Amino acid sequence: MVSRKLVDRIFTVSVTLLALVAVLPIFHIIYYITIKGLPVVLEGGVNFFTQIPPSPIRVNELGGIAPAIAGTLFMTAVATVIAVPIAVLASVFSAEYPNHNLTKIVRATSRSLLEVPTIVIGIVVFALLVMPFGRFTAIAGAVALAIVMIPYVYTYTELALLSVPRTYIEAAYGIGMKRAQVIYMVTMGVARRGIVRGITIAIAKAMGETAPLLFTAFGARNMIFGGPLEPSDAITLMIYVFIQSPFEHWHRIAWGAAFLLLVLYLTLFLISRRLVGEVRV
Amino acid sequence: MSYAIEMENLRVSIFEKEILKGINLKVPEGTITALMGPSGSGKTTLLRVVNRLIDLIEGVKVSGTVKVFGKSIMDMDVYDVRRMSSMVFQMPNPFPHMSIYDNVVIGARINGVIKSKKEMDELAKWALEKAMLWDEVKGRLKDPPWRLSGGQQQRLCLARALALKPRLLLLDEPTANIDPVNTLKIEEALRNIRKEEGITIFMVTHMPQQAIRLADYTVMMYDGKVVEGGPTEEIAINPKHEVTKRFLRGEV
Amino acid sequence: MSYARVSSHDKIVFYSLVPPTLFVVLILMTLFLTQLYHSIPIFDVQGLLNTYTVNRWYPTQSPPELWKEPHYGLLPTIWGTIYVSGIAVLLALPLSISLAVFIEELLPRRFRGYMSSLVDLMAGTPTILFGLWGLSFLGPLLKEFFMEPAHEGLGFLPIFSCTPLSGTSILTAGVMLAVMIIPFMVAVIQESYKAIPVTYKEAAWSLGLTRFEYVRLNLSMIVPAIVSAVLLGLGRASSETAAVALVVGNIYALSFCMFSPTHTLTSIIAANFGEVEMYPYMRNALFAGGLFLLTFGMIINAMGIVLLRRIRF
Repeated sequence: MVSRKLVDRIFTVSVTLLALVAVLPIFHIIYYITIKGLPVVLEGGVNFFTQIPPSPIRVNELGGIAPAIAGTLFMTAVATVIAVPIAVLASVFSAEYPNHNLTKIVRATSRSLLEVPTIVIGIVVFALLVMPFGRFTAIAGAVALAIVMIPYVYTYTELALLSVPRTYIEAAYGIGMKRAQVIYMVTMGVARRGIVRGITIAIAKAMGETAPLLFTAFGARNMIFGGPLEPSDAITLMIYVFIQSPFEHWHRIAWGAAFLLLVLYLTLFLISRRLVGEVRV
Repeated sequence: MSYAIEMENLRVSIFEKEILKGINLKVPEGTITALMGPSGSGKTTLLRVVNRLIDLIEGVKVSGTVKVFGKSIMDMDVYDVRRMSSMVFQMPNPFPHMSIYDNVVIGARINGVIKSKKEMDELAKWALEKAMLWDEVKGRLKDPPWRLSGGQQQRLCLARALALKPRLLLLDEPTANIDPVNTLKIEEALRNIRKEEGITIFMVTHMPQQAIRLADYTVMMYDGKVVEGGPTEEIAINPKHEVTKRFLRGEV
Repeated sequence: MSYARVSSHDKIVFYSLVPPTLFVVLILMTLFLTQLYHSIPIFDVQGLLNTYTVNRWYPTQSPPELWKEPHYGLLPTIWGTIYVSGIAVLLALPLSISLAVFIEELLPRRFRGYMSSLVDLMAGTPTILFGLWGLSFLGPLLKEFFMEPAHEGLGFLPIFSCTPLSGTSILTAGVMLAVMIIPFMVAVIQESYKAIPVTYKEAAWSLGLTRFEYVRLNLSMIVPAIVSAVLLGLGRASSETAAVALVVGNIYALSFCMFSPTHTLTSIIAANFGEVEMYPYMRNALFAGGLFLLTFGMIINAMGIVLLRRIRF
């Protein structure tokens, strides 16, 4: 007869072990990418950020990932400009009319969009924005990323708006403010940290996506940036292509790019962490 | 005598539950009128009918006539109704993301009536002085409101309400959560406002002492109805209704 | 509001907010309809059922009138998706429950914030980084320390019966996905666990239960949440593309052995979508794959949400 105490002990130990196993990989991933990627970045120096990648035959050159950086920056920025107004307004609707049928529908829609495989978003944008025009474009990539971002911005913004204590809203109406003024000057004002946090998280997500870009922006590495109506590269895309190539020096570039992506992600993550909890309500 | 508020057979129900069961009430202009009653009597609801803040509640049904300064508020655009009065709430609620200065002038800024910075500064000073807060904050108008104490925040809310220069000031137990010193300051501010600006003050209070100190008229509510009303002196000395007597004794 | 007319200002506000809201709904509809539209050609040519149940992928340039049998069958990829996601959830579930219980019961209070942040960090990490790690580190590791020994010793079992040739395989993808879906499953379980009313917990403590018995009791109260976490994990695992495409081997084959490479619905789209110029109808078949992913993903998620609502304390 195994004593209850012993079982309890085993339980505690197993749970702790399994929990540690669960979080171990992320530490190892960060470590592994750093040791494989940091040396590449250091070797490339500033050039790694400003030059275009070398052609496959120039095996001794490192070049740089400038096209990828430019593409990611451009497409993420455009995606943000597209996604944020739509998602924020939709969440304002949901927060203002919580019992309306449309609110229930859009909430369910957002939750579904969060789960949609991003490759699906990619091929649909391909069908709508690439096929008819016969070209891959940075704009198409940005649109695909915007679709990825919308449910994140919506979810976090709605949450932030609904968390605004009712008393501030009453106070605003109580001094004669009209609905639009209450929404945009008071409710959103009080919720602004939460909203910015949602946007930051969405940006981090968009920056880290590969699949939506495979058949929209497609990739381009002959110049740093060709313009919104030309194919574009991205950090994730370049990693994906280069690591599958048979060229050793391209593999190294992929690791360097991966390290940069990791740093960018961790930075955005820390920013979003700092953004919650300063407006004392 | 002209009346700031006139209510005739006002009935309010929320999801079929009757809260106000036929209110008949007249609040004279230029006076301080206190609205009292045990909790659950409907006083907060009644107050919020005046500026139609109860519109914000789900499932609310209102019937009867309510006039503010002679205008029937049920037929008007709700925002026009709300601009006739200004409200101060039980818990101090200055907008946390705005500075003290911005809190005071936000109402005026939105109305667009005041355009120049100079005029706005003067308005802020005036409102804060009337709320008896000016001396304490004049050096730190850009500070966020959470640096102020609870009592100071409530005076800030009073300033915010006054900055709109309303004819009618509505207060919902404004000193219920405030320490005694600040309570007296706010009461003095209200007295001055009534005397110097002629603003009608309609306030809910649960402290009979406060009504006696401040109010010209007192209305007593119980279970969704007005049970007694008249000059405060008369009510205090000679209460007629059972509820009023018990309330004054502190039993309800 | 029953008695007064709505202010015209309020009407303007309402109607100005409707279009962006409708637009969001429109996006989801467009995702579905566009794929449906582009799948119809292949359904017409070889039949809807065949597209999903045939084990044959034979890209061809010949016109459909000459087809003797279906050319683009997605069955192995559906199986691949199920197999890979199944492994992922099987591995992730005990780890997720443990992590959730660990955070809620065993971890000192002051560290909880950090741990939660860590879980959030895992959730948002760019998936391609997992793919790189899986390809370069996890695959070879699994091959050397698990696949080869298992094949040696237990090769008679169908799941271990094939010779592991490289790190890219069903198993590698499954293990990698397990790591990726843990934070999502933890979030679902943890939220429900936290929501268990304190009164039940107090009652359990007062009965003198050991921690183990107490946790077991709590978990039994939130079984729907755990099932929901499983469904959510399946949904997430089946929708990942880039990381999976790097480690699953990208070979069209229906296999029961977990050491063999395969294609999933996502990886076959990623691998082949670019080459469709030469092969008409292949693109349509891939859209049919995407349609399947979208539809079943939404069904699984809906089931998960309905389950979560069923929790009553």
